[in-house]
Amino acid sequence: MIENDENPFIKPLQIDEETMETLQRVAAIDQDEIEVALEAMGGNEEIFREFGKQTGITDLLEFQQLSRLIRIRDQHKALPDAFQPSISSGMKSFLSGLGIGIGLGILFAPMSGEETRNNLTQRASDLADAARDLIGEGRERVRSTMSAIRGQAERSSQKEGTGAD
Amino acid sequence: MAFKLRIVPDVRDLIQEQRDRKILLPYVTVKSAGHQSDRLELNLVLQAMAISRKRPTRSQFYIAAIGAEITLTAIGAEIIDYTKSSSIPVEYTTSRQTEKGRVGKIDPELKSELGKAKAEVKVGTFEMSSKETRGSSVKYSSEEDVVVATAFADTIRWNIDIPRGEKAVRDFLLGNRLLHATFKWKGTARKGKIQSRSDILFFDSNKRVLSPLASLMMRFVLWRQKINLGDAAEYQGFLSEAA
Repeated sequence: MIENDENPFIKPLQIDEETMETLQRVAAIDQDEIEVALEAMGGNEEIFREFGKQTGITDLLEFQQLSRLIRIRDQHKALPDAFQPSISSGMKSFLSGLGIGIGLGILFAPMSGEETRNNLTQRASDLADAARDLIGEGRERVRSTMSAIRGQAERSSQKEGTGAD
Repeated sequence: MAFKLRIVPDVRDLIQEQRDRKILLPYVTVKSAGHQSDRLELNLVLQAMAISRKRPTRSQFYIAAIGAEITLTAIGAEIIDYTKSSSIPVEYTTSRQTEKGRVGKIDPELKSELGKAKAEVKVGTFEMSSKETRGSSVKYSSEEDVVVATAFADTIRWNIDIPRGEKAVRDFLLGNRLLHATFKWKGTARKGKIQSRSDILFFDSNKRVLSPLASLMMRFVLWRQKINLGDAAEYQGFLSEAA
């Protein structure tokens, strides 16, 4: 294996339990748990914009999408309970659209190297099965043809024998 | 008077801890290539990070790049030579004992276009062979790391990519990539810049890539914990000074 934690090009990054839990909840956005992920990531639009500026990623499409999501989330939070249903339905339709996008992305995401290797082995094995079946089928066909010819030959030689008598 | 190109900022000036938090480290070395000419050698170090809890556990996430772009501009100079487009062949073989024994081969191809540059990549050929002795092996050959070089006027752009889709050996970019460029200067003013950028993504514990949106959110969470990930020296300038 080329990629493992002993590889000198893979640097360890240890984080506290709380941050790890936050990362795991945020990663759940890939399982369509968008609201959970948004709640877990914290911050506000201003802080997020500062992050974008410092890391130089404000031109990324995902950055703009996420800014909009944070704004909707914070507007939703700021409203009194009585006003929430109307906003909530707007947010839900936006989130469901985003969810479909993420779902499609995950659906077409490439497999990891390990999965690919397993898949290759499986495909090779399936190919071998198919080849074996074909060969088996061919062998069976030859065998039955041979036995038919042999039967016919025996029958004709018996007939000839009877005629000679 | 002799001139020497100086790189600012130089990645070598970073402390080890800062280097360990970067996905892409571009080390630049300048060598004289004769009259009015300089050769710039770039040693790109591509790293990944394995995130785990403080107590010893298995890594839960990885951070790495699946692509990088390096743009080198030597203002007004003539490009004499540079690292051309290339790919690294990959050979992967595995074997196992089975009760089957036949032969097969699959050989798909991928053609891609990246700006003005075109690349044709063999996605992979895999062969399966076995004998009546019930042993079988799978051989996978491919080209998994692709460098596409585009030169225009006084600028060269290199795109380093792992082809999208199936990859048998690497999930992300790791290790060194060596690039070079030689320029012939036309005037006395010698200056230019190098821009390095990588596509940073997060991967789960099985090294399966997470979506760009999830990656961005996770990067934000770490940034709030003062863990600032990125590329070291996204912009490096070079200019001549008296040797």
